[in-house]
Amino acid sequence: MQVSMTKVEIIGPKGLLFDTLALLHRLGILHVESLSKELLKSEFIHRMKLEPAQEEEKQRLEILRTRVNGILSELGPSLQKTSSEKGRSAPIWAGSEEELTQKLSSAIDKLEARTAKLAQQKSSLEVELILLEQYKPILEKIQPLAKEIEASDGFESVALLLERDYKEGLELLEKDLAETTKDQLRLVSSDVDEDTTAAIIIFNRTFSRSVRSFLASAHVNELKLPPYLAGKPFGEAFGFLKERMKILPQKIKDIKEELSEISAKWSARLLDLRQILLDRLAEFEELPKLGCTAYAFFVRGWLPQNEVGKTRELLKKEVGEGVSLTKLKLTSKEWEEAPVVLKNPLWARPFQLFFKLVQPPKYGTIDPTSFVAIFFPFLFGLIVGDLGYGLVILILALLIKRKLREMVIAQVFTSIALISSISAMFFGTFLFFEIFGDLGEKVIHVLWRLEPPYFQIGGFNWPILRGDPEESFYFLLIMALAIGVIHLSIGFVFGIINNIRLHHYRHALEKGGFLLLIISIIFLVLAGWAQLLPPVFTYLAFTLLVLSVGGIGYGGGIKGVIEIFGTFANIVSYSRLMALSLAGAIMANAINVLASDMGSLGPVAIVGGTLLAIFLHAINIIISVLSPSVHSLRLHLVECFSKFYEPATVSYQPFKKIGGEGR
Amino acid sequence: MNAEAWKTMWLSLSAFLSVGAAAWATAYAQARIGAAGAGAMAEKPELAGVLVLLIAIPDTIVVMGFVVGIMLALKAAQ
Repeated sequence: MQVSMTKVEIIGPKGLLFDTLALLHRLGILHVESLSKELLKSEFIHRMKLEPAQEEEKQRLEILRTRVNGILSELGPSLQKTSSEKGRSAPIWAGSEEELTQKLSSAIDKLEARTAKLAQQKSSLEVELILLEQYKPILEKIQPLAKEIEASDGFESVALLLERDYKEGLELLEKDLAETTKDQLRLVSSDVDEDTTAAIIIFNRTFSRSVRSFLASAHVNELKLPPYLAGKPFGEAFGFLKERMKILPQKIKDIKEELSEISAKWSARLLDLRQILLDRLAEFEELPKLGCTAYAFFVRGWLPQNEVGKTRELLKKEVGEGVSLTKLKLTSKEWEEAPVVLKNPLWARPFQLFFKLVQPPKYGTIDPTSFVAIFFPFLFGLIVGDLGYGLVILILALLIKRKLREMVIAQVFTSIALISSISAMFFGTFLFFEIFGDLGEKVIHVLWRLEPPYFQIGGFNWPILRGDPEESFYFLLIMALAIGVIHLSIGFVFGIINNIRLHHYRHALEKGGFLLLIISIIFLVLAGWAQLLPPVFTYLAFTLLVLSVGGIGYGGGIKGVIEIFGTFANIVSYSRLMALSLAGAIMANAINVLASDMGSLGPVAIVGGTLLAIFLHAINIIISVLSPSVHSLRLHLVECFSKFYEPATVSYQPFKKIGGEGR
Repeated sequence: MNAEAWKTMWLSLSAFLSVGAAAWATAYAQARIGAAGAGAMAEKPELAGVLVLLIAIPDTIVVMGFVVGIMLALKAAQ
């Protein structure tokens, strides 16, 4: 159901603008409409602009917001979770605008320098630790090599790192360097890990420059130690590194604890503070949508009809008599721009989720949420049609619902799954009698030696054996097409109503023509083919057929007539219900056959067969959740909605407090 | 081979082709849509829901193939 909306205009003296805005912001129900071009044509009306003082205030708040965000990011995302309940620290920030800004600034001043310093220290220590962890295995390997070729005063050493694939290159390097140093060098190497080899070259100090320039020209990477290790002998550097690696984690821990203390004391306040800032800035940002004259301001927007009286009262009471709220009279074109608010009964509300895929229905047209809430689970249940599968989906949905209480989207999904699983259990029990495929049948066979079908009701066998296509194929196909005819007919009825409501009478006639076409085909099938109706209905069907094509042609033109074929294709598309229903059931039966065949091999194989059955049924259940959901959704959105659905052009975005970026 | 056997063979082959070719065509279309959709989703993650729906559209081909295939297979089994 759509909520009735009213377009209102709020007018008042400029002095009361911010009081009015603050109230509207707190109420959070007015969808503010930007000033129209028509109104701006008047020489007395302008778009609202910020006064220089207000502009200054806005900039001040923007800077504060940036600084608060900076502090919060330094405290870290996990620390932000220690947020307060809403309004916990609100009294701290109560007071005039100036007091508020002062309080904010002083709080930020206290924290900013301290947190920035701590965060920077923490980050540089963490980087150092990572670096040392990388150097440790290298130095560990190099240190014994360095000891092996104990350097004397007249000698110098260089450590190298290279990929193991190029290890053979070391021999060439040694040969070339031997020429450069006149054989006054030694090179030793060892593998550091799977990919890296370390080497140390020790050579006469007099050749230092030529060795280094040779290494640079040969693109050999010299091992660069951190500045405080560079120049130290490798043994000494390794000892220093180990010592440093012992100290660093404790230092980092101390800083984290200090940040935690700050966070525990301040993060709740900071989040509230950011909320206040964002809300205040939102009020400034709303200003360009408003209009003004020399002395007055005015706001135009949409309110739910039942909120108009209350809002008017509150304006009078809290802002004063100077501000008035009036309802505007609208043309039909203006009504088309009304934002849409949906309000459905609790059982249908989760299905409003589908309007995240398509825009909500246009204002004034039918809201199909309840229709979807009935047909979606119906189609889902018909496809899954298994008591065992339905039960598993139900239990999983309940568990997820309980576990993810805070996550709105999970609650919506699980509500849809709950309703749909009940439908699957219903069809699984009363139409197909399936419990994890034909497991139920097998149990009945073992206990009472009974074979399906167990009953005959009105010429039909019960249950419908989906696992045996010879038995069930035509029944399911006819049932699927019949559901398609009913589903689309409801779509056409909605189409007629919508077009009448929108005063598109020719389109209403076109939709009526399609509905007549379907009725005439039903008569033709029942009277001509199935001979369930007297032959006179055949003549009636032909008359209706001619009338319907006439109606479609008049209402929709050539496009409408071509659409007749599209409608037939849409009906045939419902045969997917049969196809998916059969495929799922055959798959479940195949799993049971596989498991029972395996189980017949011996006692140990029984356990293996059971595990295999559980695993394969679990996969089939996952497919049974995804595939029917997508196809039921598709039958609604692609096949049925195309018969009546008009998407809204404007979504309802009330001017309300957002409660901070992080929430 | 008698005429009945030929008929059964051709019906079975037709059923196989009906499902097989339709499944191949669906897979081809879905692969194309999926690849394009993944690109679109990288830019606009909110399109995920619409993408699932778009991928489901070519399913009609294999569903129809399955319907025709099973009708032929049932005829062959008679």
